[in-house]
Amino acid sequence: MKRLNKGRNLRLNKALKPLLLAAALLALPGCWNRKELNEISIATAFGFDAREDRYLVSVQLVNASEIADKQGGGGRVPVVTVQQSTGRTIFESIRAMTTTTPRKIYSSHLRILVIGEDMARAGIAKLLDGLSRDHELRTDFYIIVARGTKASDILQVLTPLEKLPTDKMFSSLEASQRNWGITARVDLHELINDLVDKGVDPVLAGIVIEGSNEIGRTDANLDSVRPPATLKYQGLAVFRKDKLVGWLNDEQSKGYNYIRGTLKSTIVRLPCRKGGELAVELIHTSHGIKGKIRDGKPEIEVRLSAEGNIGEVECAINLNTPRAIPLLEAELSEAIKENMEATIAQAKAYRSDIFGFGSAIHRADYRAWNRMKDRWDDEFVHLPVHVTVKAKIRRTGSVVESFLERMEDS
Amino acid sequence: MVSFLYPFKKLLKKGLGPRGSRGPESDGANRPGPLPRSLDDTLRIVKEALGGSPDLVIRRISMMINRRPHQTAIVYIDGLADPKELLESLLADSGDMQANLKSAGDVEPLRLIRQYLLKVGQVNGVSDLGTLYHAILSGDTCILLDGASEAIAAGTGSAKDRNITEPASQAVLRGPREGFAETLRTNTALIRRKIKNPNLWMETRRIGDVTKTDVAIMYIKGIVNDKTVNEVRQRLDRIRIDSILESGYIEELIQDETYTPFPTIFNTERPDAVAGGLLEGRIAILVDGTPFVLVVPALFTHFLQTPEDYYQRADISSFLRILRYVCLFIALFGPAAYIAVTTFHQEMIPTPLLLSVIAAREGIPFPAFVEAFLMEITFEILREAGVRMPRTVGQAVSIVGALVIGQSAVEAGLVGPAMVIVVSITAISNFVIPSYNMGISIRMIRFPFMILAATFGLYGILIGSIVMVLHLCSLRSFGVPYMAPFAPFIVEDQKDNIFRLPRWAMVTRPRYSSDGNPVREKERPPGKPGR
Repeated sequence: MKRLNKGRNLRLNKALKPLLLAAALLALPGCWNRKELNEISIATAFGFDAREDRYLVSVQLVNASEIADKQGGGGRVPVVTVQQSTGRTIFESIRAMTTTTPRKIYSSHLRILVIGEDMARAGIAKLLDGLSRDHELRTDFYIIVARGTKASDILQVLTPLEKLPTDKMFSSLEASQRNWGITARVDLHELINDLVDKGVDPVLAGIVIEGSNEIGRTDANLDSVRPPATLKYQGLAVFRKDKLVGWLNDEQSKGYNYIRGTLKSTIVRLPCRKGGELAVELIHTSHGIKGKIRDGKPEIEVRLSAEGNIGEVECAINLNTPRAIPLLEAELSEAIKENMEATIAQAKAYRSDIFGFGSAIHRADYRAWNRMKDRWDDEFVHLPVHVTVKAKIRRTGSVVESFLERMEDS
Repeated sequence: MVSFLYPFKKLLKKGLGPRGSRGPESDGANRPGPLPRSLDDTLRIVKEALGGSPDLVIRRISMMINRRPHQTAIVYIDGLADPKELLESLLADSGDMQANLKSAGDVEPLRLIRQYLLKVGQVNGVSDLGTLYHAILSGDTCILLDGASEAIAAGTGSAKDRNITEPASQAVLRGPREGFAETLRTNTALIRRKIKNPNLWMETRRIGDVTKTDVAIMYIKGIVNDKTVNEVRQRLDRIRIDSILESGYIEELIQDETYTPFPTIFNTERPDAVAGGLLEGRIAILVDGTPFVLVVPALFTHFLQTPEDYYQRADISSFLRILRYVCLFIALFGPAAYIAVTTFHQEMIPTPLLLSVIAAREGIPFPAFVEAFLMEITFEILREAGVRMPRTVGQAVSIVGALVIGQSAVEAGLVGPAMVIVVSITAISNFVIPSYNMGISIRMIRFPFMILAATFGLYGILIGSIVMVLHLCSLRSFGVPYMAPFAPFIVEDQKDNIFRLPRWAMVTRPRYSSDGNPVREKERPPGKPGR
């Protein structure tokens, strides 16, 4: 019996050890952040504005029970709510918001960060540290600038079609960069990399409210067929270091995307010889930026090859001759090239190397770069950039001849 | 293992003390001994031993043998034995009998009866009372002769057996529809019918002090690993128990590890599954009185295979096996993963999905864990009720179940619709696991995983899985590592593990069970057969 007891103690020890180890588990996990779904509210957008010497932080929170309500109808409640608070630091202001919101703000699903133009002109670097430091935030949200307005105003506009305004901002940003080419999708990582890298300056997409932002805040915006207020991307904000210095217009923004190679598809308008215009849809572009040091002077070569289809012909032109297409290709290349050069000129005017030419030089010759990196702004202004564009037209769509020509003949 | 069981055995013995110490075996009338010479004595003892039971039939006849009358008695249990033909041959046809006896000359009367009179296949001599009781109680008809030192036990057993029907527990779409019945002999015959080979050997044991249940082990000599057979013999011989009513008794007494949720002995109602196991060098243990036959050694992967895997084409079988493994993981981790993701890792859910999950959970008063636990328990209750309940009220439970779980719980705001989906898919996945006892184990382990998920999130699930895998790898079934073709990883056995390769690629038997004789078809070289 005694032996049996001893055996039992041994077994007890055996059982105790794993138990102790399991108890250690309680203390070991770093983040002890159990939270039930109905104890959090999802923040889909942040907006940062400057208010005197403080930050004004606006958060767009989702009213989840409204969003899934299939019946709709009846008394509609906005699916989002915007809460604001001020503070000397971003983190502090967000936490201070718990005094107005019933639940903890959960920001892992943040999709859009809007920075007011005033704030952007003052400098954005200080905003970003807290965001990159907080483990709760993923870094895959896009950062945009509220052009000529406040970020808080942008967040308050209700949008038709998409229930969540943020979804609208998010998906139209993605769609417009890919299919139109006038915006830029920049997430937190890219922005911080661009800020740190001396060879490149950041750009951010700009967003404006078209129409009345007073009505945009109310349900009335959803009641009319043509909404009184819409959110619209317009141009790119050009930064020097972390300060906004100016804007690119839509054409120049397209030029920017050509050079950066971030454009997948866009429409290029070409004039016809006999008057009128035709539109070419680019379906594929590939680009290259090459830096070179010639006689101690930096030089950049930008190469772009584009493929396109004829999308629309609004003039009398005979496409059915062997010379017509190569001629159009040459015109297309020229048009794209002019666009790119205009963009470069504008960037030079802003003294902001948004294309990353500096990085290209860095990659080509790091010794030369080390010599000039501190005065790169000056170098950039005088930097010779050689642009070559090779455009191909692959198809003319489902018809070759435009019926417009036949109309003229008769 | 045995040492672990020791205190329990002690406890059991203590608990059943008075009955255990004075079993029927020690009763005076039952004391085994030699047969008394006098027929009257013998019959009296037998009657006493069986308590004068009315189903004991004793027919006394006087037989003329060698022109002398001999007092004879025919003893059998009514209902167990069917001595019609035997009685006919003994009592009728006296002319024929006389002729036979004349030509036999002066032979011992008992031998005469045995050699010339009994029109029965199986005839044994019985010389002591113990054997006599067992013979009578097994359905034999015993012929006792006054003055003889031996009696004759003729195999006339004809216990009413159930028809061979389709097994209820392991249905197949393609494959034999027969299942084992309750009689040992029927079951061994079913296996014999599949493997007509003299090397199919069988040994029987009589286990159970009171029940005296016949237990047979079957294996194919030359394929089976002799060490494993020895191990099975030893473990069966070590069993000390009063009764065996089902093979589950044997399973519990001979399994390698008691304290594990995982079954280490395979059971099946299908003769084809047993035959397949025997051909792979495994050993079948058949128990009289149950259609469930044990097959050892059993590996984890066996519980996720069905006999049908070998009847369908290889690609179909492989797909189904992969599906089963997927279902295994769903059944194991489904609710746990849901709890972990919704209470710890909301960032892992795509935003639109998260929003609809939140919307669905809006107003649910319980934390996700309680919600999941409630639903799982409810489901388990319904399932268990469905199994035990009389068939005729089955519909009532399914209606109540569908309404309670499916709709009302959601409408009443007790649980969210997402949880209903999770619980349902988990439950259905669980039934995909072909082996019922493995399914039950998985269902049990699900709850600790849910607790881990509710306290530590995915981290907890991971820790739990590590512990579970360690445990699985530490298990053995009759000396074979439980996770065998996975860990230790045996390359050539992967042909019949998660994937089932075409027949021509399965030339060898599993490595672990068929030591010495691994090649199935000696003549044919390995590879695809030519056309």
